[in-house]
Amino acid sequence: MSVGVQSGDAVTERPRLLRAEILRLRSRRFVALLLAIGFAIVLVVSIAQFFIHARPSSADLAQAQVQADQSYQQCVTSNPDIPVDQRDQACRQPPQDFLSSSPFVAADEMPGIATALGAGIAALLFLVGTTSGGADWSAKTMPALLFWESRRTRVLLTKLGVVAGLAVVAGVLTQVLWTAIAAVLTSTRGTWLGKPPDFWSQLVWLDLRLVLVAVLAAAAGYALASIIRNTGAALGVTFVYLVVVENVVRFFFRSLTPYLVAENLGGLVNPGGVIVTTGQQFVPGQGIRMGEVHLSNLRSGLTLGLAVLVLVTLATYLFRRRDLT
Amino acid sequence: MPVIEIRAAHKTYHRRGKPDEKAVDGLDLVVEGGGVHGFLGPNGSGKTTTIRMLLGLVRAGSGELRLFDRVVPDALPEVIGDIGALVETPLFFPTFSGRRNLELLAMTAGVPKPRIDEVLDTVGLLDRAGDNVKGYSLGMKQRLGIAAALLKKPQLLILDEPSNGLDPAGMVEMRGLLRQLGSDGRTTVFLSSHLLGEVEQVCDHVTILARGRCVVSGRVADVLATRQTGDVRVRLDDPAAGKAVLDAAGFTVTSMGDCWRVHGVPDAAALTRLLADHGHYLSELAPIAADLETVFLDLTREA
Repeated sequence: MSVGVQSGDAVTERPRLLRAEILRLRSRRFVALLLAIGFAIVLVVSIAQFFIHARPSSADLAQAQVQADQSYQQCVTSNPDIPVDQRDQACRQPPQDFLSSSPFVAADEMPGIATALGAGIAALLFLVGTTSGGADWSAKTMPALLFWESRRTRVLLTKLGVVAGLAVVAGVLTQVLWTAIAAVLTSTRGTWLGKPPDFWSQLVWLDLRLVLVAVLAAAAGYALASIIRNTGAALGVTFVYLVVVENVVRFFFRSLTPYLVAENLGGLVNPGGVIVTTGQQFVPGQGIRMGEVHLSNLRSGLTLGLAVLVLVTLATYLFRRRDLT
Repeated sequence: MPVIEIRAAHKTYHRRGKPDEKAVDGLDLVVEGGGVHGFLGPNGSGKTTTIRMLLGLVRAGSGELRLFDRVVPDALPEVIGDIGALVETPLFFPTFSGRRNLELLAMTAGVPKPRIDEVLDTVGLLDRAGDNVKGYSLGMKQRLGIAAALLKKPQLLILDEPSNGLDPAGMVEMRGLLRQLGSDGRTTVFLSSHLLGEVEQVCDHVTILARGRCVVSGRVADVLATRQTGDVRVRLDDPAAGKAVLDAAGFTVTSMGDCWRVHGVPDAAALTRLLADHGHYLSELAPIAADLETVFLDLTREA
């Protein structure tokens, strides 16, 4: 060993912790594997949809429209007590329900499959977040990194930001890819029939909420692994919380149901949110009734965002305070 | 200006279900700039904890720690760019190549890419830089750790047991590197080691730690001088007759193989005269210096 260069100030470029962290995440084969699994799921679902569905002919579509109209008339005739302004809601069935050739109906299938894919990607990104946080501690590279950037808060938040950024990219790409594939499927094996006027705006809004779920999942996973400093333990805690704790709360402490993760995930993703019951309560003039709480998209988003913020704050606080031995 | 300055530092680890462990107990330490400063101590004497406190990995319970005259850990971000460190086993992502691990660190600190190959060459790892770290031997990981510590061309190089896992040739090379760095007029090497021979060979200054306290600190020669015994080794043409003369003069003489060890000689010239007066001429007379191992064992036992 001999010093090959003259001593001098080697630090001549601007430090780029963010770039280094992006490169670190990109270089991790497990992350690449998880993202490849996500991509494969999108492709498998798309291929399955292609073979499940067949495009209806013009005659099929016309006949379905006729059948839908006839069904509506029958319903109205046999239920004359339905108020006029509620007849559509009560009796109108979309024409695609009467198609025999099972086409890919964009209005029905696109949001549903987008939601399923979004949930799957969010789960994968939770794993990415958890393993990224856990890997730093299992390889003990976190203390070594502090010889290079000693500001612990900056280190943790940069790492978390990179994981969250990856979630945004993966979530958006998944939804864009699915939308493009669904458009092709609709053109070749399906129909746009029954598409409401605000279909696209509702779909984009749904996609954005799904991307938010992915970001929250990735951030929560990273923060949890940083707190516990172990990937396996973080995954175990998550499993126990979701499967055991939340069910116990649902059963014994129903008034707390509006604050559960699973309920709020439903509230954030479902168009218009969800209504959860909070157990029996006395309502003046109406007696004892089941309490209901409407978890709107906004409310659920804020609740989940707050929960993740608490985890991130705790992870940051502990990381700043801990002795790294 | 001292490069490292520690005043009355304390650190106690509180561990659940275990008694408190006092790792550092009122440590005072000053390391002036330049040269190689050895940091010695038995296992558990607080060497690594001291280094971790300096690098902000462990928070001192009390006391003041300064690097380049800045109080750490608060001012660590201002000086970390001038510090290279290797603490115990170097830690890298096992599934990344050696070069990729260094790239990530270099990027973090703003070190230009060409410097990576320079340090890999310096530690003799250039040929294996593309291999995953999980395939490296302990010695190769150690070399990679030293390469990482050198990346920033640091003014202060803190090395905690850098010889761990190195083969004999690697240890010789590393000592040469440390001597070279310590004599470049810019770099101060702070070397924590349990290899007393290594410290004696490489270091200009030494601090010996025991039970979290500094028991001695200074130039290696001065530290050794504190334990000089005044013993000399003498070789004579007629050992038996020579010994009789020395015994008669009241010296304590013990055997050292084919020569004698004469204990507590205040004046070597007088010894020479005494033997010459009795017709015995010395073929060798050499003072027996205390080695660092002796000093270390004495001091740490006393502490």
